[in-house]
Amino acid sequence: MTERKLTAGVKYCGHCNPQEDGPALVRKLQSRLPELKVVPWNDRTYDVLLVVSACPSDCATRPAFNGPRIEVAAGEVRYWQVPPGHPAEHLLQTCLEEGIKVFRFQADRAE
Amino acid sequence: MVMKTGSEYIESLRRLKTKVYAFGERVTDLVDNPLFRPHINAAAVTYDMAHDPVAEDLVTAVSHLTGKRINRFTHIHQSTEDLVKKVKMLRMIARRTGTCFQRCVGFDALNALYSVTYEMDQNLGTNYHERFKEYLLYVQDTDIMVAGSMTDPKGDRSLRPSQQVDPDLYVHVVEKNEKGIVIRGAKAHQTGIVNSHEMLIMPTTAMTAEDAQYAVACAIPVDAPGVIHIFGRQTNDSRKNGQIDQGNARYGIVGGEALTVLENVFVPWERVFMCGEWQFAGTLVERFASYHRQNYGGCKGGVSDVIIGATALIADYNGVAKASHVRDKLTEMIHLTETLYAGSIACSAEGRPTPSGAYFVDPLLANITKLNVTRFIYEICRLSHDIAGGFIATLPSEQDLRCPEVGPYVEKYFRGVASVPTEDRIRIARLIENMTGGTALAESMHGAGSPQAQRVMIMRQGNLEQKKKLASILAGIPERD
Repeated sequence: MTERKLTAGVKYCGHCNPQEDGPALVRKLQSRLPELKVVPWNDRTYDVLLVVSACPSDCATRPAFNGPRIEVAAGEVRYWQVPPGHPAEHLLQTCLEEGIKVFRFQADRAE
Repeated sequence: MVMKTGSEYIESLRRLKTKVYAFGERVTDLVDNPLFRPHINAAAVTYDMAHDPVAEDLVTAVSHLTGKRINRFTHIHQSTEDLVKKVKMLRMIARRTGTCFQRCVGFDALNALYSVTYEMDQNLGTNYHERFKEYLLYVQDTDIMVAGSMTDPKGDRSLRPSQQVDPDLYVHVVEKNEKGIVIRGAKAHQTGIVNSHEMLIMPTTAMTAEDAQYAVACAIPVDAPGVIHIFGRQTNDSRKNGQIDQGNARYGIVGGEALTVLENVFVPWERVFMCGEWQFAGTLVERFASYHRQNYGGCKGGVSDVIIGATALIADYNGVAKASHVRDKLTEMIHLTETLYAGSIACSAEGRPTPSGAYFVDPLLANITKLNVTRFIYEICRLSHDIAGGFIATLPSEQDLRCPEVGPYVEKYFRGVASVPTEDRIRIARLIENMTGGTALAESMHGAGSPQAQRVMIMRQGNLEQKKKLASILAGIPERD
């Protein structure tokens, strides 16, 4: 079944002293999810906001966005069950399969 | 409102008529001249990073005046988060340039004047703050590079500005009229000024009533009539042929400093932000200095990251990377670097709002940070020299490496481990030499003020009497009137 192309808006922290390479991580996700389209966070035309911090201080600014938000950082894994068919499902699942530490997942304003 | 790109910034410099002298000649090709271009490239990074999706979170901010996104170098800090992001931004950019990118000086001048003009108006009934806000809007809207111009030549250091034999050794007002003022004097060690658009002039020391004509703050274009820049020499500035011997050919070393002479320069009133209010000169100096000293654990932290990386590479190339003393020295370099960074983060996290609403760093911790820089950078560089070996100071030139007759000998006898090309080893050695000696070291000592200036502020804010009291209580000494 062909699914609608998932678009993720990406917000990076600034990478002042990165412990992880955020752009490399996003490229890795894209290679695992060919249907994933990545745009900058300020495009405002995406299904999921992906916030990528490169160290545990997780200081990336969170843009206002009324949709699902996946925050990854070199920190603890905290996430909630994603409803089947949810736009963030595959992306979050891929993050976890890749061993990417998901700092937080927030689906559609409801934690 | 447009945030410039690096290319747009560089092109904008071509439109200026900045009067620059170097080696006894008027410079007519500033942008493309190899003496200046590395510094211009470094400053351009502050523009490009605002458009880089990975970096923009640090290099942009939302203007509190317009609500629009601006380059952070034109922003007034609105929170401790802004202060922390400033430090992170400086470290991030320094890791890319390996040298000074100059734009923080004007950034700090903008923030210092923003809060001090407010306080001046509240106390003296002047109207500088609204005037300054108009200037700030212009800076944010045009995204220009502003040089922060504080340091006067100072002449006889034992004398106040008004006591100097030559009155021009501190910038002063020589004329006031309906349209504005005329200033005269000079500003020394002007970082990035030849590739800035404007200079923001401030007094260099606390003043007395007798010094009132020296209590002047104002903004002028760097190419205003009567402004002359005499560019300072740097270590390696005669190594502009080729790439390797410069060490960091793209971005150079330190900021590219100049002596800027102000020969009866007219300043319209709308660009005058202090004129005779000597009571606030000291406050302005301290505020600017503290903001500027906040920076050094950020930018020098980033520069040190590069030095550590270069030193670890040369250890690899020399075949000594696994030696325990080498690992111990690299650990010490990391420790010193992160200690500097911690100071900058701490003085930012402990920042507080000024009456204007703009946030100010903790000045004690900011001065501690800069004083540490005057020592720790020397130690970081000493350890780098220790690990790298003496060949960083005795290497033949790039021309010798390329020379058909002797090049093979250079190739053969300067090789370290067999798997690494000799040229790689020479390149890293030259980078270390460039980043750890000469002008770069002196900049760590005196940039943002000499160590004694930090000691004065540390003692003033160190709360020594309270510490005596603590000791007296524990020693059982009764409190006496």
